[in-house]
Amino acid sequence: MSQPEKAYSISVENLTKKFDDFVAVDKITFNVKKGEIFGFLGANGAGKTTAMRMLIGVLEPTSGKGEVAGFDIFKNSRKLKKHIGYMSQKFSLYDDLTAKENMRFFGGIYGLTNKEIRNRTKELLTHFGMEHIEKERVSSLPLGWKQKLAFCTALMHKPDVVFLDEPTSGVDPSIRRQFWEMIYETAEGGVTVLVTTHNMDEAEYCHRISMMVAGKMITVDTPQNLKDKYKLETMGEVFLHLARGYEKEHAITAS
Amino acid sequence: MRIIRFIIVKEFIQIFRNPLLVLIILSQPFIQVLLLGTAGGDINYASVYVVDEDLSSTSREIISKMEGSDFFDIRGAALTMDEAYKVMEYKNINLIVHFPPNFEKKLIKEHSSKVQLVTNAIDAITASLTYAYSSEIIGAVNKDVAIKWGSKSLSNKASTVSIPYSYWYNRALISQYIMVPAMCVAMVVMITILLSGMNIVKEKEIGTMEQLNVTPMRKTHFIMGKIIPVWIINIVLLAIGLILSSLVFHVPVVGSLWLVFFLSGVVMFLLLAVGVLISVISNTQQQAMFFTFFIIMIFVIFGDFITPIDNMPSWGKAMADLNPQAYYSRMIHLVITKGSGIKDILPDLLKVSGLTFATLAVSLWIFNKKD
Repeated sequence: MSQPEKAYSISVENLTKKFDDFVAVDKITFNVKKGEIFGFLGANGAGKTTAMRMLIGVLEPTSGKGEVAGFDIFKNSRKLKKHIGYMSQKFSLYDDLTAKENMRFFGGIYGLTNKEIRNRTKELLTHFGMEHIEKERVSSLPLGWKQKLAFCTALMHKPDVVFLDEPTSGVDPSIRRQFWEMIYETAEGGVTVLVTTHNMDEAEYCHRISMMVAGKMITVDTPQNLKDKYKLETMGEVFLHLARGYEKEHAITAS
Repeated sequence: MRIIRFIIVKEFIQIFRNPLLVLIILSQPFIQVLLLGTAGGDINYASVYVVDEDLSSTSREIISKMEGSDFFDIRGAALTMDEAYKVMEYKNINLIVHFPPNFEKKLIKEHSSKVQLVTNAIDAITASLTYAYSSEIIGAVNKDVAIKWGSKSLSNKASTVSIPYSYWYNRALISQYIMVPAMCVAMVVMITILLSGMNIVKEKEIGTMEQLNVTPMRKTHFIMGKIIPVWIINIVLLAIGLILSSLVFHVPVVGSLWLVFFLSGVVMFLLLAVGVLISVISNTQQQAMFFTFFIIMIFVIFGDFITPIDNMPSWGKAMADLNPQAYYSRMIHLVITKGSGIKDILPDLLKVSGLTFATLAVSLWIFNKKD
């Protein structure tokens, strides 16, 4: 089993995070292949964000094993950070800088040379059809464009894995569509994408999804397989079915 | 190092994109040094009321001597002390000079007589100055009287050893020579702590800190990139402040100007470290703002600015040992007013550096732990 593991961009085994007595993430185990779009589904407070924060090296796990882009999340969190990109739930670029200045700043932080920054900025903005906002202050951009820009910025240093924490919340459907096209194009280029969402339409776009309830990962499969398995029409129904089922079962064992 | 440069450039762009902030910062030397430097004037005037129940040549001589001095302004005379007290109460008179009946007669017959001086101690400093100056005038009259009447006992009292005053390092006792450099110090302390105190916490509040935490950037680099722009801004502000103090108030810099900038640069790092600590402890800009005001108040009160540290109880002196402003104003006065060299301020500089490293280490520790 040790040999094929190398093919995975993310491999996690029994990863756990406890805050005092509260178990936020309970022994989750999963693997994500290179170039795969992997969805993290779950209700608010299910532990998605906590799990993601451990994978991006900002939160130390309590126990378990984890490797992202070939780096141990316990030992090599700084090296690991060089090889991943992250886009947070809360918009987090500088409002008072222009699009280009933001990309330049983050490129610089990742240690890119001036030439690399110039080329990469141009490449990304052209590729995603955003050249015209280059000199615009971020504060003047509509939310959807801000999110697209944040995604470009997360790709500046050519990361192996990108983590997107609810990237399309509050964005209108047409921009959401464009955003997912960006995600597909990125994944086709060999970048692994891990995306959290509680939007079930978006779940359909993922290659594979995992579902978290109360800190536990209750299932990992492709959206089609899940729908077939439970004979349901949409991912939303699957989600409700699984979440309710789990909670019922859990309530019985607890009482 | 390259990373620090990117942060510095970003910081400067952000500051200059905020015209109101730039205006407020740049107006500081003008407001603090020009306005407050002028407002903190010397005490050079006391209003006097006279109650002369003697109406003799000696009492008139004393009154006319007072009239002759620039310091005293004789506002009027009253017939009784009660009347004079009322005037002091309602018209804010600084001094009542009271000659009792038979003042001169006693002086000639008994070789001793009494004048009553009532000072208004609502303003303690003016009161003590008024008292000192009027005693000086009466003393001079004593001498004249002794010579005039050849009184033995009086001539004994009119000692032959006189005490001429000379105030070293500020011979003319021009308060601006002390006030203006002190205002420069207060300005630098305030702006440095305020700007750096709001700096990091702002990134936490707008959410960019979370993004930065995911990058391989080291916290030390981040802090350096954050404080260097504030340092540069304050060096510029200090330069403007010193130019104003020289052009407008003609405050001489007796020591080396380079040393003034060097010691300021060193102290600024301590102030920045304090700002970083505030920024790291706080979660919101509002918290940081309150923290900053609280700290600046303490720094100013225990900073050799309002009360001299030498007059403080031992706990106050101990607090002054931790106070950047106390070190800063002491060193600035030594170099600007007294002309001290680096040797004289070296112990203070070393203590400041020690405090800087300690504060930065604590901030970094908290920063790494919390975020």
